[in-house]
Amino acid sequence: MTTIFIRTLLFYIILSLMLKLMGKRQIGQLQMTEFVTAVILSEVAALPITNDAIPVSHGLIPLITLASLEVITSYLSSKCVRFRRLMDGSPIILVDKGAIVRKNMDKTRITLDEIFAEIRAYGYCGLEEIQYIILEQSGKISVVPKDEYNRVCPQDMQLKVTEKGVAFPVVVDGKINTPVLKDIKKTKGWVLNELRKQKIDVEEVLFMTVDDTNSVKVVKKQE
Amino acid sequence: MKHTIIASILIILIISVVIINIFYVRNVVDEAQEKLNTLPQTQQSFFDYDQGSEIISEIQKYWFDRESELSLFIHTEEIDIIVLLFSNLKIYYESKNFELYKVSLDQLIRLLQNIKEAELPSFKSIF
Repeated sequence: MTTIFIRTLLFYIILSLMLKLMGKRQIGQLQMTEFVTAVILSEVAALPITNDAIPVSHGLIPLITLASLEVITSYLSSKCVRFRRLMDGSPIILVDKGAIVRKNMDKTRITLDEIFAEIRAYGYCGLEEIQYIILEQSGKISVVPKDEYNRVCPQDMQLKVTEKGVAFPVVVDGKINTPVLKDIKKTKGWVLNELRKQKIDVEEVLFMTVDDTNSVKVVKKQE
Repeated sequence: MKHTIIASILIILIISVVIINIFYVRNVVDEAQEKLNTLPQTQQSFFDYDQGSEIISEIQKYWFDRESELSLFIHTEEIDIIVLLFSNLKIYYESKNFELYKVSLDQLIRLLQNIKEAELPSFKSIF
């Protein structure tokens, strides 16, 4: 029992470190090679944890090798287009200027039902509204509408808008978020000063955000 | 870039560990096999020889001393079987039972050979 417990701890630490080494992208957006690695990693770690006759090295060696190879492969993919195409493939056009590309549909084994489901998911009614449908390397399907069906944006209306950017959480649950402050080049003093202007103590703040226009929003904790 | 460097270092480290493992296991097994080969192999020499018990104890000690290092690379079950076979070999030698002694000796030699071959990158071990 103790052995299994210690082994579980060990593999948890090593696997977490390896996933950190591989990067956050692995969890959300898996490319083909990344998917293969992720599936094998979980299996490889599980065997020595549950079977104490298997030496830890028999789990660690494939685990570290796979994760390291994945990092090296990703690096080579980012540096060499040919290598990237070899490992991840290229995007495939399924609908080209409103016309279905049958050859590519057969090649990718994507059905018309799936195409129409994606069109509806993007908020369009039919194929006549679509310019391109592309199957990306990650397996995700992108739908590009024809210009006349595209959503209107302020630029189309020639409207002048202020770029607000993202609202950064500088105070969360009464605590100043120092890493975020560092990213947006502000100081603790600035936060306290802004709160003083509104006559609020930092401990009373549920969250406080600031955007690119320096617009501050403060929400107080409820009594 | 930093991650790629770490990954490359890890790969080099793993390759080094694998190579060290091959040589370490081969050396230990070769030495154990060499010592086992000095034991009597025929019925005639078995009954004439009187140093067997000491040699078996010596090999047993040699194996026990390296057991923890070997358990880093070899399945515990395989190590346990070898320990058991050493004990059997000693008992059969001391009770002068040649047939069972010979079976244990052959099993030991075969098992040690298997361990060595399993660590080497060969067609058999890979596939």
